[in-house]
Amino acid sequence: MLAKINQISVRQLLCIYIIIVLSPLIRLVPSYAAEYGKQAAWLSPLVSLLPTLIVIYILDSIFKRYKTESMAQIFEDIMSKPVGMFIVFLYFLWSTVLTALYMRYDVERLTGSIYPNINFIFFIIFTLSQIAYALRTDLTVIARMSEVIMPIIFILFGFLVLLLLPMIRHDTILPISYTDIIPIIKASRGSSGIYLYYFLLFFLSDKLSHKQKLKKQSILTIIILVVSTTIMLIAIIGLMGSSVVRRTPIPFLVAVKQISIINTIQNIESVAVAMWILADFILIAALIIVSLNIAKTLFNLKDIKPLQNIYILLIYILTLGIANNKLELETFSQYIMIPINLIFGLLIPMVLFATGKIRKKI
Amino acid sequence: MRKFICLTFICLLLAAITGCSQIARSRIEIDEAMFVRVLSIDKGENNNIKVTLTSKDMSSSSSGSGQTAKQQSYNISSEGKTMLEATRALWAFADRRPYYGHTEFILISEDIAKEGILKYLDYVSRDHQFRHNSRIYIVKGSSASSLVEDTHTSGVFIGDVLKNLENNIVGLSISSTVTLAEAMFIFDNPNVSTFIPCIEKDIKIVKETQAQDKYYISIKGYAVFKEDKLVRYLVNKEARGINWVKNRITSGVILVKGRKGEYISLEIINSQTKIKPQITKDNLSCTIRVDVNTNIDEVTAADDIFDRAGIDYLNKQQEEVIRKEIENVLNIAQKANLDFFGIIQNFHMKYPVSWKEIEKNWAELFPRIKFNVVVNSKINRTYLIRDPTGSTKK
Repeated sequence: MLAKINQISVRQLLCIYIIIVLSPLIRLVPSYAAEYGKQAAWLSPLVSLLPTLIVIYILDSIFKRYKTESMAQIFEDIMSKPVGMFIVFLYFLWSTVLTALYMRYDVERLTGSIYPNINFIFFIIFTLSQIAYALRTDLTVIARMSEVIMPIIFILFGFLVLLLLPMIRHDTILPISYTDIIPIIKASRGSSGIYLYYFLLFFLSDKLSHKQKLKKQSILTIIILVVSTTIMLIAIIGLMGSSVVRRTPIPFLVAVKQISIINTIQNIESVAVAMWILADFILIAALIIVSLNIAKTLFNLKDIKPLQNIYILLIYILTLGIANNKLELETFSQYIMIPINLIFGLLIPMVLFATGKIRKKI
Repeated sequence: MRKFICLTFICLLLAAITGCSQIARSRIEIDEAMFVRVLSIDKGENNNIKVTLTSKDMSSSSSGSGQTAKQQSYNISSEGKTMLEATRALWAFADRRPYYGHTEFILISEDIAKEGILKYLDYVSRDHQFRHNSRIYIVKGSSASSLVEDTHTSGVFIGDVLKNLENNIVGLSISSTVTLAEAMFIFDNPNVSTFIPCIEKDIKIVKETQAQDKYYISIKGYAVFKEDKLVRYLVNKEARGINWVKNRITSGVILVKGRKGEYISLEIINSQTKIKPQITKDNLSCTIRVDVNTNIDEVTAADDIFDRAGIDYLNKQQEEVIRKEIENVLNIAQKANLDFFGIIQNFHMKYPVSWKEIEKNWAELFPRIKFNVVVNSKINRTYLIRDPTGSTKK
């Protein structure tokens, strides 16, 4: 049983985590990994396992001491109030930019794949209105929704990848030698940057129960994600070759468009698009909840509900202004957001952990 | 009550969006779409590109008498400086809007292929409606549009004819399919030359009732490219030579002569090719090993060939035929310095560390590679009768 009615379990949080990383993993990782890792790119998720495991161990250590506090409060306690507040404010900015980024990616994907002549503002308004409506309730609603949606998305994703596997060519994913170690590590920055959203979700730690199960369930989750990403990369790069994947903005969709089951069942990319829309809905909703929860601590608010619609309006404006076009968006995502993700998802948690150990707070 | 009003409003709004032509300008009704199955690219007038779209004419697919009606092609052409301009020009006069999501075949004329095909493939690989599993063909000896227009298809839609030819060609193993995705991947590799299957107008059919001459289509081999330009064709046995090396043999006929010079037809049942590259003291060599199984399907003499010596003799003959086919096409490749087999990828696979050095000098190394062709053939059986009819008289 959950301790409080508005709390969610670690399992529910990890369901949200799987959904929110799946969408950017499918979009960004194949082309990013192919760019740096070439034919060996499919091994890059295995490297990303290490930083994610480090963060899992850090959080597990922190939550052994801080059982009910939010991550913002933990920052303030360990790193002193001014420094902690400043870092938490940076996290607020990061999650806000991420929300706008993913909102824009969501609509760009729709207009770039199946609705090229539709004004993307229509999709932004449509999606944000639905999210605003869903967020009128509580985090628990999104958590329960994720519990239902996650298996559906995962089964659909698995089904599509399974259909791609028979079409792969071995010469596109081989050979692998020691000369590929550096390229694989470089390629792993993409998947690491996304897996490390894990830390961001723990700004909801005050709404989390059963934290004692955190380590075990998180390790299992990340292993599932790494295996899934690896198989997806084998399927996509194996089918199209790294040189083509590197140049393709949405390689998963292009690969799925090639699926043909006994020359009868074809054109099933709409399944992938539907899966993406569902995942993006949860992703944007979860990021808005995280941002508002940070804002709650940051501005010492009792209730964040009155802020919600104003914040969604801010996201709408940011979504429009974050990039002029898709090319700018991709460059911003690849060259700016990935390093920032690594800083906020891995480096700062490590600094927090080290400071906590030095100050004997953990 | 408030929730009910909200839900009703949302449902009504969603229903209204389906007819929202201002927001969804690309929206198209199914009966207003032309589902393009074959896209033909030719040279137009004044250095223009001529694009011909072919779809199945659905209006002729039903008949009142209940008999199966002939399914004819519906062709429409236009020209432009670029592919997009040419295809959009169609919108000015086409009675239906083209939809390219079902394009199965991309036919490129010889003239275009000689000048370079990448600029045409860019459009079909970039546009959101196309699929990368469309098959590419080079039209040998005529324009691509004339091939789809002047072809006798016995009432069968041209797209279905091409599909049937693809299915049938496995019985000859003188061609295979190359998808857009495969072509893009190979064109990305500067050291590998591409081969794309070629089709041509074949036997002319003259019928008094027909207003114009009609032809059968045939797939006879491959068009070989240097970079993105067509340099030559390899047809029949030469094309089968490529398939032996590329391990694309499915079936086919090997014609050998018996001890008394009579023809014996052997049917290929299966084949497996392995390429083993080797580097010894800066010399590159390659062993191509083919394991093939055949059955005797026709004996044109009355002699009994089914003794051990007879089978051994046929095996040797068969190995010789296959070896010659492979060596011939290897010679062509090395003389032209065109690695359309992707031999470099075999070296990359075996020598991933020293490959970078090989890659840099591949143009000089490839013509000097020593190929060793080893063929192991096995004749398994014959079919319903063993000794030829008439052999008992002797």
